[in-house]
Amino acid sequence: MAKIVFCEDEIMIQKLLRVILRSANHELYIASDGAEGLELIERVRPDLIFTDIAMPVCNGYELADAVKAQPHLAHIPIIFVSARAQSSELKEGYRHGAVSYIVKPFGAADLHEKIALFCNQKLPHP
Amino acid sequence: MNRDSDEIAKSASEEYTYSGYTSAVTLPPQREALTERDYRVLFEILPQGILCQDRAGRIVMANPAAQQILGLSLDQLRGRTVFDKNWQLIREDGLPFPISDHPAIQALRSGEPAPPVLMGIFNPREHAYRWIQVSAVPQIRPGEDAPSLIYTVFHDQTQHKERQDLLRASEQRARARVAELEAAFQAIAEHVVIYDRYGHVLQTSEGMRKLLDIEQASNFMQKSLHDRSSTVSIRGEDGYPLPEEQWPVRRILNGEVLRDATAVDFIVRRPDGSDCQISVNGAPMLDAAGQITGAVAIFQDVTERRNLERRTQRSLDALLAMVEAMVREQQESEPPDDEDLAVSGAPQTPLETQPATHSIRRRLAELPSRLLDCQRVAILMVDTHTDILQPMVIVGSSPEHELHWRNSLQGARLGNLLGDAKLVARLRAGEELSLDIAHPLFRDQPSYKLVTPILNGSVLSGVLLLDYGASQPNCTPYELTTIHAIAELAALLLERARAQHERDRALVELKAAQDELEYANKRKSDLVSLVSHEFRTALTGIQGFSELMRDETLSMMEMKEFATDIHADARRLVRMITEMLDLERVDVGRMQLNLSWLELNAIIINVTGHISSLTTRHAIRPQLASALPVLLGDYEKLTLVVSNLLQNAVKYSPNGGEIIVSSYIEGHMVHVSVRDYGVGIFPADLERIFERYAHVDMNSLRSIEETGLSLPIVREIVQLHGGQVWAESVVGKGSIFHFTVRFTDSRL
Repeated sequence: MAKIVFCEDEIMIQKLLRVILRSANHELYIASDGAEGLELIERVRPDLIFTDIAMPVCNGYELADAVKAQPHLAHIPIIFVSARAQSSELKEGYRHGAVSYIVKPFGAADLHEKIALFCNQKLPHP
Repeated sequence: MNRDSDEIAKSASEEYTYSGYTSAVTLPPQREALTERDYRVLFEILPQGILCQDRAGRIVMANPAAQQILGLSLDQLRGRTVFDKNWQLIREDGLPFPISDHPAIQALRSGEPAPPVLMGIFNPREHAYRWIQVSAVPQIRPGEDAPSLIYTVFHDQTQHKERQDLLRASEQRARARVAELEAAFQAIAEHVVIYDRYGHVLQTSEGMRKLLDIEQASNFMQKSLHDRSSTVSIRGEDGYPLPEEQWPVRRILNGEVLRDATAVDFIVRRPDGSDCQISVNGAPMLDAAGQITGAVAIFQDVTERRNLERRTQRSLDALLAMVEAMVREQQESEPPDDEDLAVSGAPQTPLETQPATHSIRRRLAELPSRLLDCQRVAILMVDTHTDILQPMVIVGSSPEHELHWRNSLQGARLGNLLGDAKLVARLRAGEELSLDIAHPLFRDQPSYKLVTPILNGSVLSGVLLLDYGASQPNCTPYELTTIHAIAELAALLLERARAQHERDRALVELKAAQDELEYANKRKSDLVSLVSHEFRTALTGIQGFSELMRDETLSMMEMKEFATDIHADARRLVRMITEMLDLERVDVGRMQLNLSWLELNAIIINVTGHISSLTTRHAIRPQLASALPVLLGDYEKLTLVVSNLLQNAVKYSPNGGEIIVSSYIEGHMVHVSVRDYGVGIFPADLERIFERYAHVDMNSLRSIEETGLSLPIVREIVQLHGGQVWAESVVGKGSIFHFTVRFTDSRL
């Protein structure tokens, strides 16, 4: 049972997420852009953050930077979601503090795997 | 003795003997006086002819000698008078001898002995004239005052006279000969001097005196060899004084022959201080025994020739130095690096490149001022197709002059410069022209130019202009040769410049092609990544939902719902692919129009109807022209244009509202506009939305997702129809999208 924030602007994918995770007993919070995401994270204090990179207003990297800048949020693992699989993007992501990566199109299995991996190993609270 | 014989003895160097007869009469010692018989004997044997004539001039007596000389017998003689015409007396000059001059007559008249006279007398026996010297002595009987007898005595001078005549003739011939030789001597163009053994001048031609500029009256020629040589400060070819044994005349007198290859040059100074260089040919004169009796020397003034040779040598050296410099520069210069081109961005101006090349050109153009008399030189390139001139290097009298001259020549056509198209043909044929081409600043003054073609094989690649200013060029063969040599070198330089120019241009073109390729590659890869991004996003839904359908147990309603979602995503994908392909075609410029006659209003109405059915919140209102002309266009693509614009209008008015579509005629275009009252577009984006992702980044992805890939395609289609598409907008108030299509021009 984990609290997950997912930042994704595509409506279709938002729906998919809800459907995939509805049976998994996790709390899922969805934001449509980075700013909304930040608010959500601040409010909810999730255990795991998934974020798309290409988003209006504030993109994924900016969101990650903002989260890492907050001492009380910095511990939350961030996983980027992107349609590009180039190594340069991966590196960029890790530079912004990501712990992992998901490539679109992804399936239920990918999500569950990542959640299990990062939520069962709870990072120590600073 | 007579006068003639005196002259002979003195004037000729030969000796002549005077043959005459001297008779001495010796009286026998025992006799006190000669008897009559003795006189008679004398009378008979004397070789001189004696005639005795009476007072009337009749011959009474003649001795044998007289008979022999006159060729007449005693009887024939007796009775003849001195006046007798039969004597046929003539003078030396051949004219008849005036009888009054006859000594006999004179003696008769004067009573005194008459001096001897030479006359010619006809000898009938020999049938020839004999020359006799005649004198007469009168005999006056005591008591009388007039002579009673005249003794005429004559010597036969015939032989003597003949010899004398011969002598005179040969003397005359000799004189004539000498005169001929003398004339020939004087007529020789070279200057000849004849010396004796010691170097004294025996004979010299007029020219020699002129050559050394020596006055006629001066006694220069009388001086000794040593004095003469010192006076003119004789020096060798190199300008250093010659020791005496090296003096050419001394060498000849020592037996050396100086001739052609061994001829010697020396330098002398004239009285006015100027030097001249003289070449000597000469040989010693030998007598029969082989001893040197003198010398003959021929001198030639070679000052001019040597000067010319020196100048030519200097020109040659200068030209050779130029060629060497050019070769060296060719070897040393590297082709320009790509970095150079990249750094400067634009290609280097082809004719003003490396300093080394520039200075070589300058030096070549400065040669005419060093070797000839021309300070203003221009070397021009001529374009083989257009005959347009391009100055390569200009040397003028001042920087301003050079600038004006350059400006007047740059870009001018050769025919205009020469003033006559026929002259161009002559120039192409290799002829150099001497023309008056006015300077742009000074149009009234004549400005003569020598125009020399610079030929590359048979092609005119350039022109060498030599500006002689106000004086007409008057080139010696030497100068023309130098000019041609310079033209040849200029041809080489032009060739090199052209080759370099070509290479630079090729490099630039290559670089540009490279850049374009890189750019295209980058855009392609950007496009590819954009595409994959889009596709992946669209596929996520398809994959995700189908997975769910596969793995989970779902209600029928959910199944239907998920299937609908999959379908929607799939459709989206298809649309994206189509647009992608169109954009690809647009990128590559391969979009083709399928032309037919159509009416735009019809299209608008069709599309409007279709889109109106998709949305309930929007009201699409047409305001169309009552009649639009038919135009030639692609029905499908124009439908796409209208459709895209209307869909965008819907998208940009998320809260619904009015959308007005208008069409009207504007000049020779049909103008269509789509107006919405939606959110509007930022000014910065108004142009960017039509661009074919010149620069793809994260931000533009969003706007592209909003507007789709369509607007660039819309622009391409409209432009292919000869029109424009653009947008106006006020943020928050709405936007108007315009496009125009040409209808009068059937050419598309």
